Amino acid sequence: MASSANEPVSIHRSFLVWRGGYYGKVALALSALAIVGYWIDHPSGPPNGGSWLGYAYGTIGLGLIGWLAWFGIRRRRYGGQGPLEGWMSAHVYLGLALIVIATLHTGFRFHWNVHTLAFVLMAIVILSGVFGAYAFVRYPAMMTTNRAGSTLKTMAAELASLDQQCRDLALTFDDEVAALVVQATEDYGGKFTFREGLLGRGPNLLAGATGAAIAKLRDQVGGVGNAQPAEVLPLVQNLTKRATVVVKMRRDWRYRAQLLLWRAVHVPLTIALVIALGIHVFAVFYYR
Amino acid sequence: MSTLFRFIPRVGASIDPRQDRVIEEPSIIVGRAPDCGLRMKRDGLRYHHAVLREDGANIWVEALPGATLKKGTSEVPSSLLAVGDSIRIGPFIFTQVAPDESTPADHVVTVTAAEEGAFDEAAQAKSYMSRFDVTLPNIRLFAFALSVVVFALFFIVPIVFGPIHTAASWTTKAGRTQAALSVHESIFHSAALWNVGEISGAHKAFGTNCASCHESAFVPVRSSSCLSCHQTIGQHADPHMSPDADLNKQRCESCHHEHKGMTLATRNDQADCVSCHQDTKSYAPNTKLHDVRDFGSDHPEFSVSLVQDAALHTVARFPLDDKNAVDNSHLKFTHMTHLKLEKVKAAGAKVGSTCATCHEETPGGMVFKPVTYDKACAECHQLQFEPKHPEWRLPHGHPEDVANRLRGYYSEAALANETFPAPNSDIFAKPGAPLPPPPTGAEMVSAQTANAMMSAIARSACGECHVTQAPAAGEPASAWKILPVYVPDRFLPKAQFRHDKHATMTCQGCHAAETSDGGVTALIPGIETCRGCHAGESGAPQRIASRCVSCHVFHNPEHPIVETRATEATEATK
Repeated sequence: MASSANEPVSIHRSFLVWRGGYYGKVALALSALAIVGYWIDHPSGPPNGGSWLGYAYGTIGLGLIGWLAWFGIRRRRYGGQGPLEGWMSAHVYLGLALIVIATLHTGFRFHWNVHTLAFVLMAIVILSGVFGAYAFVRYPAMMTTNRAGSTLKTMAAELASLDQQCRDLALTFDDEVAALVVQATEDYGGKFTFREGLLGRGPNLLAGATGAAIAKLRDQVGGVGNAQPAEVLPLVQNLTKRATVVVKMRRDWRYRAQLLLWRAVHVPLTIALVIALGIHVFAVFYYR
Repeated sequence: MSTLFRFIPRVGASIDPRQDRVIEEPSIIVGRAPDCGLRMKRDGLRYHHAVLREDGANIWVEALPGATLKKGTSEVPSSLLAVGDSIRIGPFIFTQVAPDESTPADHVVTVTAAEEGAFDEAAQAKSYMSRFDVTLPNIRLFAFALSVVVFALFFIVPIVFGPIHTAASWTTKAGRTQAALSVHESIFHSAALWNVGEISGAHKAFGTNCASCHESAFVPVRSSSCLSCHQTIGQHADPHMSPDADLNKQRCESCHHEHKGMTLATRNDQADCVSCHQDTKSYAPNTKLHDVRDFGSDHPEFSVSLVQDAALHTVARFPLDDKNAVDNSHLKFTHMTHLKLEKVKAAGAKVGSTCATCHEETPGGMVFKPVTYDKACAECHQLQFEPKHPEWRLPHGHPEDVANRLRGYYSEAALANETFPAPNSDIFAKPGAPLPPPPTGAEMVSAQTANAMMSAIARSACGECHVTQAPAAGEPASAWKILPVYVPDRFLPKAQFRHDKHATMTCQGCHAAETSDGGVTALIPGIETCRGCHAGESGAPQRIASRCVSCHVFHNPEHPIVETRATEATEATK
């Protein structure tokens, strides 16, 4: 019943449960109302944004988009009305309700035009926002677990130290082996890609230079190099340890990237959406 | 032969005498390997890097395979190491210095560990810090660029290249017109960028020019745009009789929705019709219309068009179940008689074997071609009038032609000295009275012609199928009349029944022709026949869902909208 003593007590309160998820309920009620309205309405002709219900949903959607976009400005300001946490909660939940209302506004009619462009931009903005909300809820804890008490700085220092140790230990071996070990110490997983940041799949160091160095070292034991296991083992251990630190650091990078990068989609597409939306409204009233 | 190596831990540091080492070999290998004479484990030094040879007076340095030496700034494979010379072997600088008195060796070489190029742990840690930093793309630049693209492609392009206002504004500038339009057509399709949906097939021809229908900006499409082409489209009802049904008060667009795909989306739901037709008396007290709510459950019996005056082609509509229905088509015909195959076959005729023998469908399947005497009747009804001369037949048509034919026949007979009993002559003359003079040839012909006319019209030839009228008292026999025949081409004019769409049915499935002893009301199927297959809008098991417009048309061509508009406009100016 009572929470375990080992469980960390969070002083952070998620925006998702702000005031018992008040805005979640508001959004749910709004979506349900919209769906029921769509269901019982029988416009003349196929459902579309030009029926009175379509105009109503369009107006609500327009208002919501304006308000949601205003959050981008509001969040940079201190003070104002209500805590930012509440605004954040409302931003997330009403953003989700928007996709329901906007989809019903389209009447499920999509074409290659500015109207569908506005919808698609809106959908991408909302989806990126959903990802952002997920990241904000999940990643801080995952980052803490991954770092296990260290910081990026201490991890970098640890990695550099392991590099040094590996290089030192490699001096015992001939040039070929030593060169492979140096190569392994230079492997930090290769270039950081957008794909990695997006899909979260880190590189496999053991398939690269580190793996090659370890394989070579293994062959040295009693073989051509006639090396002693005591000479080889610390180096292999260091290389392996180094690889785990790299993996950990890259995971940390991914978390940080994902916490930041979704905004690179969310914000610019919001601005493009506002412009497309303006053209959409202008076009439909221009050609009534 | 000995060499003293003195080690300096880094550039600028002093000699560490504890590390001094004398090697008494003429050839010393420098490297990391255990078999090296001078073994040093340091990053940058190869396993076997170089060999130092002493020839008694001088020291020579030679790089081993794969290694290089550096003298000054240039790399060399080998070099003399004279006193005062320096040479770099891997990370070490070897310098021969002059030995002093106390030196326990022939040569003295200092070995200085160079720091440059060595692995720097702190620097590496810093480099990792920056490598693992997340660099955000330039969000503002991205936002700006994306917005410009959206605005240019979806606003500027449609305005510049799209026919936003009128095509005329382009056509007046003849030179640019074709170029601009072709760019528009081939590349941008900019009208499509604002187009909310596919234009219906019929309107595609001019649909790329928005101004064809959207005449003014921010003003809904006017009905006049539609009526400029659809000039014959009718009101739903006579707007003077039913002002509520006056479509001039409506916009075409309120029922016909464009940009909804290949087919023009038209309001055709039953509720739309029923909203008025469920209680017509409430707004049109004198209407003869019956209230209707659903074909399957609440629809009056069909009213059939029956001829009232065949000469004037006037018809009146009677419900099929009306016992007092009057039909004045003036044709004596029953399907039952003609479909008695035995009798017809015995007569040696082909007629009557199938419906199609007499009834030929028109293209479109709405009506049948009129049944004519020549095609349908002549084979059996040959209009002979004289058994002795069956080759003589009466013409089907005007009574004058019939009289001429008869006159011709009897004239020929008179010339051939054939005699006929004088019609109406007294066989027995009164005793004592003189015999009347024998008739002249002309008199006989006239008399016979008149007699035959009367006989043919009243009974045998014409009267068999036609309703005839006897002459009034005092009129000559030649005044017999054949009353005009009129059969309407459609009996249920308010419905759009198409025979071709019902080709899966047999004729008898709906028309009780084999048992019909005459009368249109018996032949035209009633609502129950239709309901055998058709249900109302919401359908029923094993039956077809049918709404009002499945049979009825909304626009009545008898009252064209354009015409009523023009009339009203004229009246308004008066």
